[in-house]
Amino acid sequence: MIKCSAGTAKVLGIKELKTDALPTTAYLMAGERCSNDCSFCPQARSSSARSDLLSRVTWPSYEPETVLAGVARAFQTELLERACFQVVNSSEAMVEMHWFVDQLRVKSAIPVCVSCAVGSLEGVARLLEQGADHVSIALDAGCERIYATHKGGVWEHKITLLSAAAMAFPGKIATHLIVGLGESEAEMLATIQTMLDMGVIVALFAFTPVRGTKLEKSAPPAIGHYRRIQAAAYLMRLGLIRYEVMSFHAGELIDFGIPAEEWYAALAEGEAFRTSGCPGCNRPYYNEKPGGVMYNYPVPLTVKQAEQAMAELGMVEVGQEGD
Amino acid sequence: MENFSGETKQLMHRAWEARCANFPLQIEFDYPKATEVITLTGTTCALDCAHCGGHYLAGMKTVTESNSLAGLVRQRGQAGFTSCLISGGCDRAGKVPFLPQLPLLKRLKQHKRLNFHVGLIEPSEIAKLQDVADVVSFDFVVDDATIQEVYGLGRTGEAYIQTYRALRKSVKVLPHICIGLKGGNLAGERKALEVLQTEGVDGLVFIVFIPTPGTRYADRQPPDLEAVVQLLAEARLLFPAQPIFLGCMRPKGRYRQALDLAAIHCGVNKIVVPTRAAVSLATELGLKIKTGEECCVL
Repeated sequence: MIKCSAGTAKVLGIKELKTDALPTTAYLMAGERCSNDCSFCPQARSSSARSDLLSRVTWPSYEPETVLAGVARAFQTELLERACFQVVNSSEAMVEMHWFVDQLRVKSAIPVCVSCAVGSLEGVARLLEQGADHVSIALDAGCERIYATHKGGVWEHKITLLSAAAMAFPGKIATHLIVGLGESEAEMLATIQTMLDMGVIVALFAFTPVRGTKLEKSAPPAIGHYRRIQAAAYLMRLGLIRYEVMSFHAGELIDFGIPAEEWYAALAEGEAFRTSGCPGCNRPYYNEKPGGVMYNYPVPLTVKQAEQAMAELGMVEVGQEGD
Repeated sequence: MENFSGETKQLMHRAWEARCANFPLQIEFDYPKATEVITLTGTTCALDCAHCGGHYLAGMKTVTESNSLAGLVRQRGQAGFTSCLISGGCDRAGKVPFLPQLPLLKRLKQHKRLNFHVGLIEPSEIAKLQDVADVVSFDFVVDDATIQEVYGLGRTGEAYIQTYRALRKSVKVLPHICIGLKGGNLAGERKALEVLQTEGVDGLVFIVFIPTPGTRYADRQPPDLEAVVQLLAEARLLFPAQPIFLGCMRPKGRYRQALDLAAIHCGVNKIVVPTRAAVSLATELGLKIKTGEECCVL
């Protein structure tokens, strides 16, 4: 069986779902229950969350043939731009994933990315040879301190692997970062700068408390905190700013380090506040309850949404006369 | 420069001249990473002030007897710190209850310099404060309506004046004036400056109201920038030889960029976490830059 996100199942026409935003990437999951024990994850070893959850999204199971053929069809009809495998850390899941990727490769030319606990450069090479166009090595934590608390394991090893992989396979390595695990904006942005300097693609997520996980009672990040990281990461990606020119107070970003007109022009249309990561990835409602705070917008922002996001940034404007 | 009126620009020019007449061409920029900010009450505060609502306590380290100095040093790791801002929520009377933590504070004092937020402290407590405080950062508010609206305290400006006077006899005190505290409107700021002229100051710290999400003033605007700049210039002229600092609490973004630039033209002596443009301006104006790593009053 293969798990696919509820939104993906809707796109494939195998599940009824009411939604105002469909995924443009097929999100597929291999395995169940991870050998890692990340405190935020429903798949963690000690999590008592429902086993069909990843983040707040449900992942119903289907026959692989149905799903993979559906993905191939949806790519042909341009409903999907990419397929993304999320793999829990277990040897069964890795075997399953390799088989799924092979099967999909036979059926379709759809770009494929794989997010898994690959431990070596050889592992990354194997996935790329198999036909993945991106491999994501999830850092998740915004800094070493948070990594030690919420993921365990050795931060330095992950960084070294990311660096080596990005050097060996330029443009093909991505990472995931979860905002709101207790890191400061300065810590998160320093890490993002390091990733961008290595040539690693950065996908930002907002911490989402899930019942049954260790962090079920923790709050998601304040929207201002998230928006500032999104905005700064976007400006860094465009090469308009670097970590070194930004100013922080008590860990909070207070100045981008370039004239306000410049960053305002780059941010005003709202592109910075959309889902980030591999091309074609939009992950609708992965961190968001429909109708709730929109951390990552899955589609281009309306003028009103963009204005709201700019206000949420908390980078205060100079009032007009007569205000 | 912003589109300030000719009058404001003239005022700023006079302020700049006053600064140059009384101080060397030097400005200090502080990046207070060597000052650990501590709350003695965790995230608890008996008041629910309109501008804070307890929000700023969440960003501080909680230190109590059971979570001691050793714990703090452990948390802080190798980075080290040389001083602490001792803060916390207030009790119903509007003071930070530091007395129950006195033994801890005495131990801290042996190793670190301490800056205190005390609020409307009792005279009997001031004697004890003397032993542990290097300096007190005292929010100085004299407008009764502001005190009522923001803090919901049944106290008057006179209580703030009396407390300031009493504190000043025992310990170094730097009054803090939050410009636009009354929901972004200027209310008693000028009167506060007048009173301080009579009372005397060792220096002045200006901070600027920040509309903070989740507080009663979340939807307000920061005070009109030109009005803030005028006040800074007037303060420079009223206190030509006393150090004037632009403190850490002020809005982010474009507002902060514009404020920092104008504050330099108004002749402030210190800016905490300046924007990058302000650092460039200081250099252009020929100001020698000194940098600090602690709270601006330390």
